[in-house]
Formats: sequence, C-alpha cells, structure tokens
Amino acid sequence: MAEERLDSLAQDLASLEFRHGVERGFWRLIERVGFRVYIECFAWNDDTYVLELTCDRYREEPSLGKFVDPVTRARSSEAWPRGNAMFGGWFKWNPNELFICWPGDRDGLAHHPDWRARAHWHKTQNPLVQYLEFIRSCLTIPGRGYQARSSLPLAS
Amino acid sequence: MSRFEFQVEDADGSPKTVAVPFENHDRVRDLIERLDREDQIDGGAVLEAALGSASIIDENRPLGEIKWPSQPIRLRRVCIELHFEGDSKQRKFPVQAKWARVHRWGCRAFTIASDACAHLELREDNPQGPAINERQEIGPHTGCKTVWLVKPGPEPNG
Repeated sequence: MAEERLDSLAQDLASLEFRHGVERGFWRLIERVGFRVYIECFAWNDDTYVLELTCDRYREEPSLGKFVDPVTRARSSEAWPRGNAMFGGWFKWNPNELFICWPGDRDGLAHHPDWRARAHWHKTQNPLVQYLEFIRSCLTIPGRGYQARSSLPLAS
Repeated sequence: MSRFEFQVEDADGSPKTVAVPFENHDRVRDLIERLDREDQIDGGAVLEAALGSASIIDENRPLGEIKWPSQPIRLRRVCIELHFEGDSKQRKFPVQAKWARVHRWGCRAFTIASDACAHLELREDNPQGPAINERQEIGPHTGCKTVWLVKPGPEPNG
C-alpha cells in the first residue's frame, strides 16, 4: 500500500502538468528523497524558494509543505517568502510557527479542522501539481501580495 | 527631426519598413504612442526589443538621450488574440517580447483598473488552460495565438 502511494507520487512527478510547470519556468524538481520532494519555486521576479513537500500517505492525506534553506534544508523563517497581509494569510513565516495556511496542506488542516470536510486534495487527480499551482499563483500574481526579497529590510 | 525606423516581418509575409518621426525633446512615451498606432503592433514591446530586453525604459526620458542601436532593427512579429470575459482583441508583438507586455496591453485595451489588473493572469487557449509565465518570451508561432486574461479562483486561508 505504501509502495503504491510512492508510485502515485512518481506518476505525478512524471505527469504532463508537472513537466509543463518546469518548461514554463514555474518550478523545478531538485530531488526526491523517499516520500519527500524538494522543489525550487520561482517568483515573478526570479526570486527562488525551496519547498519541501512531505508526501507520505500521498493522495490519501494532504502533503505537508515547508520552505527550507536551499543548502542546509533547515526549516527556517529566512527561507520563507513574505508579503503583505493577504499573502501572510497563507504563508506563516513566524519562526515559532512556520506553516502554510491552505486547505491542501496538512498543517493548514491542523489549524483549521473544519477544512478537512472539504477534502481539497481529493478535488484533483494530481495533488502535487495542485499544491505547486497554489504556490505558483501566490508567487507570480502580483495581486496576491508577494514581496520581492530585494524590497525587504536586511536581517540584522 | 529624427526617425525611428525598423523592419517588421510576419510569419507569413514579406518584410515591411516602418518609420516614425520624432524630435529629440519628445519623450519615450510619445514614441510609444506613435508606434502603437502603426499596424496594430505594440509600441512599448517594439522599443524594448529594439533597445534590448534588459533595458528599463523610463517613459519620461527625452528621446534625444536614448542610445539607439547602430545596426538596423529587424523584428519578427506574431499575432495574439486576447480574450477577457466576453470580449476579445488582437494585437501583434515582437516574438522576443515578454508575455508581461500582453498582460499590460490587455488591461489597457479592456480598460481594467490597475488594482484589478494585478489580480489577473494569462492562460493559454482557454480560461482553464495552462498558466503562462509572463517573464518568458512570446516566441514564434503561426496564426493568431489565443490567450485568456483571467482572474484565478479564490484560495481560502486563515
């Protein structure tokens, strides 16, 4: 059963929709380590972020997304994209509570148990691309409030 | 009086020379407006292609201050048919123009307010088609490519 789930993940990584995102310069697979995938996501201005997606129980349960340091893979606030209040509604970069607040994310569901009934990740044949499309839209549609790294105050 | 001259070529047509006169004290935006009136080609995209895609064009800059390329400017143009809600319009763009130009023109052409424009994105073929990366070049194609300017569905959050 676990192997079947991993195969589903392999299928979705090889899907036309996933490859389309790569060809269009929206994301790039860095590597897959067991049930984890590391994907580089590109913002409208070429800023890049590394998303770690934990996909155990893939398709059965939502994946868990965390942005990580591109070198150490540590989950740190500095690795997270930032933006205005609207953007901050989805992306929680507080160092004490890093999570993605969206019905297709496992931690999003932990914070909003009422979202489980929606089963957002079941509304698609390809939850991996559904997740990446959400990230893409937030990083590339200016109205969603992403703030370019260069516009942020330097960390002390 | 100076002249901004370039040659355009359609995928299925012979080259055509376009010459637009200007005074050195005219601003970049004046030239863009004149170019816009030429044969449905996007003036801003033409100027950007002529000066190099990396150029950041200040539309208030006097044209006399612009360093024009010494080589003749040759552009291949392609047709885009942009749909927004129930309406559609066609325009030609240089192949090397970025898709962001199409988005910007669409918001002007369909008189969409800038705050609403920032919530829209381009999709290929139909409103549910694949998203287009606006940082990428339009690229060559034949015929008139159908693109939609759409507002993506809401994404709930906490």
